[in-house]
Amino acid sequence: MEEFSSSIIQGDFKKIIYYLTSSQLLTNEELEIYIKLARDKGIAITEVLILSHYPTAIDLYTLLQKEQLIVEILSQFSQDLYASNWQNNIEYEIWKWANNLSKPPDYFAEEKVVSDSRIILEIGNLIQLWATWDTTNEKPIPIPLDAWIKKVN
Amino acid sequence: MKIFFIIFFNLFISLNSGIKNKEIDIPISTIKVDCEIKNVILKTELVEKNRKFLFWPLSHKKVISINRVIDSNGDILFERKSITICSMDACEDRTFQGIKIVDNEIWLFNYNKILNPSGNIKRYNFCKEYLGTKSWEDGDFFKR
Repeated sequence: MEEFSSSIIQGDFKKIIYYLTSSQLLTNEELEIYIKLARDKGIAITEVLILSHYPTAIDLYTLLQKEQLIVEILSQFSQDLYASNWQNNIEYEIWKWANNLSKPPDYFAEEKVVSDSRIILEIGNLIQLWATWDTTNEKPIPIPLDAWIKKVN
Repeated sequence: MKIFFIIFFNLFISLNSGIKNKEIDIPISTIKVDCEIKNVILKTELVEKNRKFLFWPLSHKKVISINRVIDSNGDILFERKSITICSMDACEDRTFQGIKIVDNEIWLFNYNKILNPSGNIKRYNFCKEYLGTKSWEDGDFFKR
């Protein structure tokens, strides 16, 4: 599984998906190593890919790590779409795209953006957290999913 | 003749007395080696306003883009506001904000069609200290 480790270090998402789908089931110890590797690398999408294939791996996360993960996912998705760490109201946009409440603007590849938003929503449901911008402290903060749903509705 | 020579000599000395060697001021670097701030975030706000001519809505719109670099203490390090008038496809160009965070540096991209056509990038650390200027190379704003 050295190739899997190197694909995480290189950030090669195609290879990561290939190894996650084609290789034999990973043990908890292996998952712990790969998740730590992905976290140290600092690319949240790798963690998302592992978690979407192995949802039970969420038990390896502490509450603080879960909070950091959801903030990091939304921030990196904003970076991919708008070249900004936090596009204003990105959390609302992703929520609406994932729940089919609205469509992404025409200038985005709709299918890709919607499917990515759904994966983020899956992770949000898994850890029961979402992220939002704290206007008083001027930084993104995690918010419990229940509170977020109340806020949106 | 001697008097004339002495006066001329004194005049020459007095004129030269004001001349000093040109000193080159070498700026003392005030850049701290360690900046305590480890994280900054680039927050972007877009305000779109549709345009009208009397009562008729026009196809183009005014987009105000406000980019702020905020440190972990919530302080705004840099703020840039740009206004564009765009229509249809021109609105697609949202993948470049003019500010980028690269490793432990903040890059401010500068470009002016007349004054600065080649473009340059001003580099700052997370404590808002100026690190230098680099030329704007192809692919600079594509790299993460």
